[in-house]
Amino acid sequence: MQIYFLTIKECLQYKTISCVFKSSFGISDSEADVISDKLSEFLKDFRENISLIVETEYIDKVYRDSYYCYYSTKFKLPGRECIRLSLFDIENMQPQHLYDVKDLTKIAGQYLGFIVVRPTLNNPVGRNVISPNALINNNIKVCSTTVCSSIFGLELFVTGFPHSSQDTETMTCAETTVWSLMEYFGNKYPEYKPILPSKILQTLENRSHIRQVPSHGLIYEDISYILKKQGFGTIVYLKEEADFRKTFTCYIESGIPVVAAISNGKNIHHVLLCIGRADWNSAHYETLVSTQFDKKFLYEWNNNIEEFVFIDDNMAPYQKAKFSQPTTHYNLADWDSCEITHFIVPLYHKIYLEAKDAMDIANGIALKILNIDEKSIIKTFLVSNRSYKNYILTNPDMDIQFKDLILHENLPKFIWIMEISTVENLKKNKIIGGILLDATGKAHEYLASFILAYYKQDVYTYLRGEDKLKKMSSNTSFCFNAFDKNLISYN
Amino acid sequence: MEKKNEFQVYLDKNPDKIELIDIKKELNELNEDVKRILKENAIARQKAWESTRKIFINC
Repeated sequence: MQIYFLTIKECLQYKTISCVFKSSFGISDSEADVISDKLSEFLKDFRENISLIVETEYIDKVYRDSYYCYYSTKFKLPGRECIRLSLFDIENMQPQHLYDVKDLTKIAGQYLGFIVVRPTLNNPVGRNVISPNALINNNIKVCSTTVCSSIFGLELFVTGFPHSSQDTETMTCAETTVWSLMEYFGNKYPEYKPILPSKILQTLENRSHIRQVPSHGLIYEDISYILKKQGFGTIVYLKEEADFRKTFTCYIESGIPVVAAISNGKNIHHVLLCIGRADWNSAHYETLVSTQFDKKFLYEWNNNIEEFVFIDDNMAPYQKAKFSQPTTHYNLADWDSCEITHFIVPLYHKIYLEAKDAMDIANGIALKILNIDEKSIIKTFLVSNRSYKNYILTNPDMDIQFKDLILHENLPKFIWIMEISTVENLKKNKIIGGILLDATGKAHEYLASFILAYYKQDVYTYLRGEDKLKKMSSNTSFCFNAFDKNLISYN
Repeated sequence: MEKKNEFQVYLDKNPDKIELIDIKKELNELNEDVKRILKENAIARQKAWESTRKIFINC
């Protein structure tokens, strides 16, 4: 194994890395230049002063799996080994950094992730997990997971979202998206496991009536079927239905990566993952658009988000794009007219109340039971019992009585929350009210899923069977930090 | 030792802070709305699922 030290700037400007590709992959100068150009295109969104450690003869679990289930059966064999680039937030990192025991903890703290380069010439960027902190422009809020790796015996951890480009032969966008999603969930939650390309093929073996490799893509049912087999309760939404973007945003605000299917209605059918949104500053609040409910105007947060963050296997990770124009950054005529036609949500299998129903129910309670003020701002999202109670416990502005009320409440594993605020309060990340709904509840009547609500200084519970609301007035007005644990801010 | 619910302790000391509100009328209106909305949502789910068939995603 050979180890090289260079920076992203050197990689971009001098193609220094081309000769490493040539010697390590046993390819021609022009082929090495193709890989180098593709890598440069991938790296252009990242800071140039980031140092790279380049390791040759790297065994990558995903490529090795594709190699033995497909590439090894070809007459003209690509190599089995990959090259791994490890990113560090250190200027001009030198080999001696790795031998100074005192520096090791500091180096581990400056690790920004890794990129595997495959010997698949036209699509060389393989598995990668890169921290958004490596981006030039990182004002994003995204789902992320922590992945462990090791270099030179030094254990390293990176927090980011798993990404890979498709190799077009064993993995098209559809398989890559499933892989990326399962890599995320498998690293983050014990209920799920990462999935390798051969396992995707194996799962679909009995459903497929045509050959599986070289891959011709997957149909929606295949994607949904694989996710269901991995333990999810999947739901599909279609662009023609009401509140399509609002529902999409609601899942993103819930910290659930969503499979977005895009098409131009002709020759392009593509999927990518939406994992978050652009971060907001106070200027964004000036552009809020209100929605009319009967005679009252409210600001719906989920109706006001336009820019999202995508994991797209044709691009580098963390691409920002508008919901209405998700692929204009391709700068290709055929892709300009693409729009999101469907999205698939990998929900936890015991969440029975879906986002659209939850938002409709919470809106009704806010307007007709709590009678919230005109021009209030409302935001609905899903949380786990654990993270919500942790938010309550650690909320610095919340009084002990209200904390105790929630912490003593028996809550289901997942809860739909509607936060209520004024625009001025939300600019300061403060809320003045909330509605809690049971996500395992059945949506057959308005208060079937209702747990409790609080607004201004009153707390409401429902006395089932008596059709009565129990209103309990607190001795202080509610105004405390909003929940912000579903998406991580990197700004 | 029991950790008391401070909000409950406060309500026990201040029973005048509790009010029972009859919401039968509002609930009836809401339940009529919800039946219609949830039916529309369920039909949309079915249409979404049916529309996805036979399209290969491979770009």
